[in-house]
Amino acid sequence: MVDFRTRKGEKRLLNGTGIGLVCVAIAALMLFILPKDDPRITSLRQQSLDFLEPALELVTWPVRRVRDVSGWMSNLSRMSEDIEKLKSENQAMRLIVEAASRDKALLAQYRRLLSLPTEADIEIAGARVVADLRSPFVKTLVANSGAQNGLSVGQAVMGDRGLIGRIISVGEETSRILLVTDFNSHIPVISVTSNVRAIMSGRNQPDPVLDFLPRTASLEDGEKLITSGDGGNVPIGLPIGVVAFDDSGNPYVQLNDNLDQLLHVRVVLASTPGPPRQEARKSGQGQTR
Amino acid sequence: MSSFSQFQPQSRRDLLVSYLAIFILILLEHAPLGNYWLSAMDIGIFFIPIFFLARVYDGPWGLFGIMLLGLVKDLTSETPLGFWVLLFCLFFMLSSSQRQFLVNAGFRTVWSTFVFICLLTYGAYYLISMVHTDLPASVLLTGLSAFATMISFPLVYLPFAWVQGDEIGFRRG
Amino acid sequence: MVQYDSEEISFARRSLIMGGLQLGLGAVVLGRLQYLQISQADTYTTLAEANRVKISPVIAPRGRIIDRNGIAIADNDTSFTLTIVPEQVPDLIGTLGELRELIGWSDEKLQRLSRYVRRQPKFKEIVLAKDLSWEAFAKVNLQLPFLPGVEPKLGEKRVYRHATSVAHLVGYVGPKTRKDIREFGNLPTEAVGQTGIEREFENILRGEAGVRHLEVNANGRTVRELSLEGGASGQDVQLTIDVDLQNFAAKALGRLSGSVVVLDTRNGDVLCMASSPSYDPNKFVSGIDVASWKSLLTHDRKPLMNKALRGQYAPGSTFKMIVALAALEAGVMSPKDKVACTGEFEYGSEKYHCWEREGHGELNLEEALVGSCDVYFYELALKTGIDRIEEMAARFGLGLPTGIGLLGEKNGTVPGREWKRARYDTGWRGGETVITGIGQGFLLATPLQLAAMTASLANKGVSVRPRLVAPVLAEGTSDSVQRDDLKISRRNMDIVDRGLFRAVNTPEGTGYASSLLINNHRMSGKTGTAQVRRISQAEREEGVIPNKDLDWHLRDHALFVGYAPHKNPRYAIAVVIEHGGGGAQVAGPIARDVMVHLLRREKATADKPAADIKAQAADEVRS
Repeated sequence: MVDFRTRKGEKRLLNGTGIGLVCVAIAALMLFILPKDDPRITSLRQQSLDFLEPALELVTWPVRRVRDVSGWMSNLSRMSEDIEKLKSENQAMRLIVEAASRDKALLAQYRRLLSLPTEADIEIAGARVVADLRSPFVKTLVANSGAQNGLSVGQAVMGDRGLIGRIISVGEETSRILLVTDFNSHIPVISVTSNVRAIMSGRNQPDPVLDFLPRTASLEDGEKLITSGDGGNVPIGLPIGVVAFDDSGNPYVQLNDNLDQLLHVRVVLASTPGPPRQEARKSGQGQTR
Repeated sequence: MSSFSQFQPQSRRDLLVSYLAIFILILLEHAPLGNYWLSAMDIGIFFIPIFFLARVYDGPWGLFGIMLLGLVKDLTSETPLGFWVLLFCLFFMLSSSQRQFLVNAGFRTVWSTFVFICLLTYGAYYLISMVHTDLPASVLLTGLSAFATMISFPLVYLPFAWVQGDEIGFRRG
Repeated sequence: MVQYDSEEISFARRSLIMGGLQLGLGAVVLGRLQYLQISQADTYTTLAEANRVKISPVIAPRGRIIDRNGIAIADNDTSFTLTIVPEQVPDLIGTLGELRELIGWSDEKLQRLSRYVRRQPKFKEIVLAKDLSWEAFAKVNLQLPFLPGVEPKLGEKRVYRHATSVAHLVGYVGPKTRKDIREFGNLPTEAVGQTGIEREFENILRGEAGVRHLEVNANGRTVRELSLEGGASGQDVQLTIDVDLQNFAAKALGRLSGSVVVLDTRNGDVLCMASSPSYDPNKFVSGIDVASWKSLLTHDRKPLMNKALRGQYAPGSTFKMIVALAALEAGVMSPKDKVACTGEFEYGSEKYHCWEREGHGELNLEEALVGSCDVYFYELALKTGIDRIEEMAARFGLGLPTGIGLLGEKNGTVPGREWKRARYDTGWRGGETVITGIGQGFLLATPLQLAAMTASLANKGVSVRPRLVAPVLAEGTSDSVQRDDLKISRRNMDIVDRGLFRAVNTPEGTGYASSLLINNHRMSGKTGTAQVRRISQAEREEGVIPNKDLDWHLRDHALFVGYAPHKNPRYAIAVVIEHGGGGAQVAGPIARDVMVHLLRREKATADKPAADIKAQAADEVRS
């Protein structure tokens, strides 16, 4: 057996290069042999995030503070302008809320008349973004709420002004949010004005696109998009963004929310049942590819 | 021009401090920065303390700690297990191979060496992602990530090495 | 002099050898690098590109088949499809089970799919489900992050909006067969026209496929679209058919076995060609199941057959106008000459009977047409002779293809001496002329031929060739209408015209039950009843069994031909009901109803402002 001697004169089975090669071989084996989408690995990821969440919070705290402060300072500079804008928005909102209450009462009446089951109220749970896992491969965030807060896989996640993603895996204390810009995100939507149904799909680009449009669909630039509720899981009526067209005339979605500025999110706790293996997935079986 | 001697970690504490620094920088990389391009890139600031460790630590077990940290990176980044483990190992081995060369090197030489190893590592990053993952890495994002890593070297390396007692008032072994 | 010790020399030599070996090795590697990366750069770039880039055909949207008003008869609907690549699925059974929950497959279907998927190559993209509802499709899309290897796709599916009423005309598309590949070449499309207009105009409807360049990863999974070179959409084919009239006629036929043909007498446009019973062509689009196919094939009323084109029937009394014109043109009889009908006619040793058992008494030509007297026409046929009758029939297009250009059209039979010699190797007999005079014997005609014949009568001796496809797209047809003067004297045409008018609009006429009056317009026409069995003398003595007491296949065929408006005719109609019984009782009322519908619509259209008419047509096109 060959042995090597270190500077200190110790005998070793392998020298540094040998150890390095062994480590590289182990790493390569892990990379090429382990199954890509194994639910156990996804579960392990979620549990790791749960475990590391306090450390993530601690380490990212300075960055979040700096952003808060810089956001506060830039808000200061625009304060009077923002106040005027908020006042008029508030006024408009009041009218909208009143109209919505009336519509809600009317809808409940119609449901009673038609003997339809009443729609459960939508509950919202707030959460804070503790980590941004975005990379060239995936577009996900980590929030500091999990199963113990009522979160489960498949629930819709909103920013301040619209849908930003869905819960892809849930631990006890954290959950991962698959952003609508991720390649794996496909959400049924409907345009408010022309009633066109489509699937909003992520492309790992800043803006998701509209897929599976009917051949005769004619969308208008600036038309509002909301979730259609098709397929269950994601409730109907959640705002998303507006339709826009690229240089080739292909439609894409300008999201209401800026995904880069998210520090807080709202999770829609849907009352409808989730996918068939929902229970199994609570430990986190959703995968991104 | 200050030069760098062969620094020996005097105790396990020094080794652990290096590991801790790598760990913190791995987590810090996931901080929500509020910018699309910064978030989309994979900036390898954690490579900088790995470079330092590889350059100064002669022990046989350093690599295993690096592997473990690579696994932490894989678990938090949603990359396939082994992806960052492999890259960390490659980076560490490449950096270790330059140990003798950098014994009396000046800062610019050290930085240049880091740049060179970065290029090789991000080249491997791109090739592995092409072969293995479902999405090929964007050439642009990979290049930008490598560039950002290279230019952030002084910002991280200098204070870190100073904390470890290597840069100024270094200990001669 | 410098002395070198042996160790130094040995070391130097070894160094030189090692260095030389390294240099040599380095040179080999460099040389190979130069070869691969510089000399063969283009080759390997191309290979790498070929590996990286997948070329996928883009199937062009198939052209529609539309009616004369632009209403879609055959159209394309969106089809939501699911595919799977087994290689990319870590847990195939689990994934299929999940899809079953989402889509609602039965256990049996799941097992069948599992078996099918396991038998296929792992890298092949397999279609799991087609024509999914939007709800099921949306459900699957939502769950895609949990379903690796599953890919939803958008396709097009052929849909026939008026299904059973147009089936025989438009035909259907179906999965391509070897025969299709032989005829059309290797097509990128899956669905190819199998029958009818879909088949006849396959090359026009299909369009040209485009090409999509997709970037794939090492596993072959598509990650990005690089470029799209769109092909050309298929062209629409416009028919002369009026789908509203077609639907009405199909409804009027109901469960009867037969056909209705309506022509525009001015240009030969086929406004309606309905055949009953029919079938649903939508069932063929994805491949019909064996049980349904067998049921259609073995059905005794032959739903797959376009009876308007392929049904051949003895025209019965609807042939009498031809005999009359042949006689008048030959001058063998004056229109005022009378024949006494006693209900029986003897020729040689044979007795021939009139449908009116007691006889009609004495009548002239016009009266004979009105009362459809068989005895008169037995006499007329003998006097005229089979040669003249044969020639006149040919002038009116009987026994010949109409020129409509659809595959499978039957020619009918107009018998004559040469025909009989060629067919039976025997001579013509006088008795055969007798029964030919009332449209029986060897005589056969299709409903389309009868309609074309009637159009020629309506045009007072000018024939038009029937056409089904709008002139601009029909192969081998010219833009202008093909009209031929049959060179028959106007006076003789008027005599026959008067007879046909009275046959429907006077109480003595056999077609009186089918008279109509819409907007001062009336219909002229002729009933016909064609025997399919021989009535024996014994049966005649005991009393002829009525149709209603006979098995269906022994009953007489019922026919009616007519045209309207009686002045300046525009529409010609032929109705044939297989084993329907009497022409006056069964075929005539159907023809009347169809004409009433047509004339009422014409009136309603005439009363509407032009802008409204256009708007209505546009609405119908959009719907």
